[in-house]
Amino acid sequence: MVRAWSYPSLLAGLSLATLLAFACSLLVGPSGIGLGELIAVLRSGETSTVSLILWEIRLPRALLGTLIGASLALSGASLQGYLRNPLAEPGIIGVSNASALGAVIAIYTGLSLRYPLTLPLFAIAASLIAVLILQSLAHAGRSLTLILAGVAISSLCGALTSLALSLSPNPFASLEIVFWLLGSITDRSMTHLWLMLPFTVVGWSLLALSARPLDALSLGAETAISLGIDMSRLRWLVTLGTAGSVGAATAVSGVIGFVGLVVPHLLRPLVGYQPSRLLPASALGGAALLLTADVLVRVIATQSELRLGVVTALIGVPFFFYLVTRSKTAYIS
Amino acid sequence: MNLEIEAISVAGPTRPILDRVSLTLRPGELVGLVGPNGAGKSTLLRVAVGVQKQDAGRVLLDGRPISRMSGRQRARALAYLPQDRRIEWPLTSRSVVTLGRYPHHNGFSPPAESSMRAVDKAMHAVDADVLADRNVTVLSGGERTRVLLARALAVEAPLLLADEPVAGLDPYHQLHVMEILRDTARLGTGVLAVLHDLSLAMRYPDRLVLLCEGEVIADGPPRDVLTRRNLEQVYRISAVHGMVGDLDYLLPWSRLT
Amino acid sequence: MDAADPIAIRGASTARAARLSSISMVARIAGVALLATASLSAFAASPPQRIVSMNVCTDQLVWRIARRSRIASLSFIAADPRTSAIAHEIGELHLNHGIAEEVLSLNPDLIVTGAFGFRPTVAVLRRLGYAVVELPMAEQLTDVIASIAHLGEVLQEPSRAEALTRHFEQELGRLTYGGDGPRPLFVNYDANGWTTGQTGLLADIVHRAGLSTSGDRLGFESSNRISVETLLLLAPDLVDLGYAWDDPPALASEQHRHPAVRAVLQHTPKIDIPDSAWLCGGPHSLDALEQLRGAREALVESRQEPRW
Repeated sequence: MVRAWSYPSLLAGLSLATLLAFACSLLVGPSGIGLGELIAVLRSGETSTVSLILWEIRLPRALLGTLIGASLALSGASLQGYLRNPLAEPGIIGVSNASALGAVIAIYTGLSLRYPLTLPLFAIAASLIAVLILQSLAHAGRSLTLILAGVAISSLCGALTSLALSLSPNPFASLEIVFWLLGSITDRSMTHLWLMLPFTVVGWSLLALSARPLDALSLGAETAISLGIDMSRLRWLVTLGTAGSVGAATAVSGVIGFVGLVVPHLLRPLVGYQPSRLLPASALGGAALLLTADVLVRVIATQSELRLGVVTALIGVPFFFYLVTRSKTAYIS
Repeated sequence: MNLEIEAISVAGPTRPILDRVSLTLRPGELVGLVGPNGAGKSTLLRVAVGVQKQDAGRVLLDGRPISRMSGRQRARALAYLPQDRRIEWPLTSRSVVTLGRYPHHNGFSPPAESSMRAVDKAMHAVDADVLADRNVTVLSGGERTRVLLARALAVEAPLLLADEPVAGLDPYHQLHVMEILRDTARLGTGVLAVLHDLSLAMRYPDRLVLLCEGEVIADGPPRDVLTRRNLEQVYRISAVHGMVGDLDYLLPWSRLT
Repeated sequence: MDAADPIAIRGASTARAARLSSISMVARIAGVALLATASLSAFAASPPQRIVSMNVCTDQLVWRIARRSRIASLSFIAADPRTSAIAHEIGELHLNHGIAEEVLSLNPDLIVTGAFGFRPTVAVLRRLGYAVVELPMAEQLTDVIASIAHLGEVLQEPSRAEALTRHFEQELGRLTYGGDGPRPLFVNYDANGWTTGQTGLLADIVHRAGLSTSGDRLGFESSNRISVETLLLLAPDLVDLGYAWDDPPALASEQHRHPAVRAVLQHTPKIDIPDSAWLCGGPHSLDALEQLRGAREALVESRQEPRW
């Protein structure tokens, strides 16, 4: 199979797509502010309601879309490389649902109101626990067991989240299960961004460090060890990196699926199947995809809000089917 | 660089998989590791490379225990071709061979000239130049084994451990791979290869180590190791021995019950 | 009160209907009267002694009209001060959850509920032969008058009902703004972004107070959800950010803590209309009207030049 694009031009193309999607995200909104008005606001630099909308509502939304999309795809690519399983993604192995459970506990007990940092911290802690349970259940070698264990953890956390919400004395809580399981970044503020940012950066750094070892892992764990890879260190890098970045993201946006699954799949042939190249490309691709989905959420105006997770699923699943049927022999070694 | 395996023991469920096995591998020699199924040959290689932990004994590289070396130092000294030939993604042959340069790379900088030359050299040694841009999933068994062997050669380590390098290959490729291993040894690398084929074991290695049920039965030139007595007791077979020129051949003939 | 002649009661209600002028009012009264006729047919001649109300709106009317000794039970929401204006008055009264079994065990001779009561429960109670009166939801303040009248007959307390109605009409006339002056924009922004449209009880109260609603400005009829962006661009003159729902919190009221909301609305006059005022139409709804009317006058006075 010949690689159609060179790596630098692929990254350039993805960066461009991300920038375009970012710009669209700033321009689209329920209040119908036109491009002209936004440019006028940028030019004049004075504070008005429109400028506040731009800086305090639309900008955080676009930034969150970028960071969350990138985190999901990046961790998906890393997990797929580490588990050597094309089905791996933070949602399937239970990290997303566990993070949502942690976040729900922080919010609906009133803890995060008093100590805002408990929101990302609880989410990350929960996803770490999930991953540790996963590892002890599945001994990392056999990926089918790992996926099954992930599904079990995912279901359990989803059920516990629903339980926690229905036990809350707040009358709105039980209805908010929809937000947590289908995701949304509507009307979030810069506060959410700042809460998320340090953990996202740390998570990304850890995942970035896993990039080259994942290359060696293409030939199996034994060869990788013989090439000097510390498998235990690699496992921690992937685990903590995923828990950190996806945990923080889910705490703010709820569970958003398929981005971590579809984006690495789509881009893998374009990077020559090399895991280390797939990571940066996936991050960009994930950001572009989520930003686009978030624009669609606002363009397809419905009375009750169209959830981000629904759009990513509607985009993701058909693609996934297409990929599976087209490349039936691609992963037989 | 010398590889010294000192009294390695690995426990098993019913009996030890390896019981105080000692072996030395010196540069420039091709040593064959032979023995019946279940003798512990693959386990010994895994312990030597550091993939598996032993319960007793040490593995030393020039007198230094590998447990005290960093993964990178160990990887630069010991190249390994495992029995598992799986390649997870449809990479090109060249990409696979380039992975052998991993222990020499630092971070994200692009590979050095010397690395590219090492890769070319390795691919040339196994006669896989034409396969460079082909996807490994479309290669035949023989081609794939050669590509993976090139990957191990690309490490340019002073020692090479190969687990069943000719398994599943047709006669042409079996001979080819054995020639490559012998040439590699001639050039100064210490090569330890697990072999099942007795003829190949007689012909190519400088020395053989015979393992049976986790113990070293014999260690020496092939003729002194694959004696009729050893074949009877260890392999439980009788074989036909002959010579072509000054090369021996050995044909397993009948089972002894 | 002594046993009243059913015919006399019917006659009194027709006379009252004739006093009210607007045509839609007559239509409403006619509808209510039909209901009254239907339910009256199930009555005994003596006034009900064990009244059970299953709906917070009917709770509040029953409480005002019927004698305390005749009320057997009110719904449990009547004790919730957020939703019920009589929460602090009812004291030790039996509270029911609107479940048939529970209601039956109270041995009621009259059950009152809202028109949107839980259908299976209402059906079961009727099937078992109990007298169930369903009051329609008040869509505007004048509906309250009709409801009080109807309940007055059904509970057989005409003089108490009439006193209440008279007071209500008087206050309504006094507090309603009838002029052509400016109508400042009042926006209520509840949990999950719900705000009032052009119609509905709260809209009616707001209009009578001389203000306009989100629905007037944006053009939607019934209550709707608006985003934070839209709220900010509306630039309301008066805003009610609703109950904080912070103890414990949910995501529903997060937008109230949004920095942009706080920044834009920091100088906007705030008002806090209790939910109980407009969730149910009743005499207490006039308190909301008074509050809003007062706010309007203050706003108009403080403006040097009107913005609208």
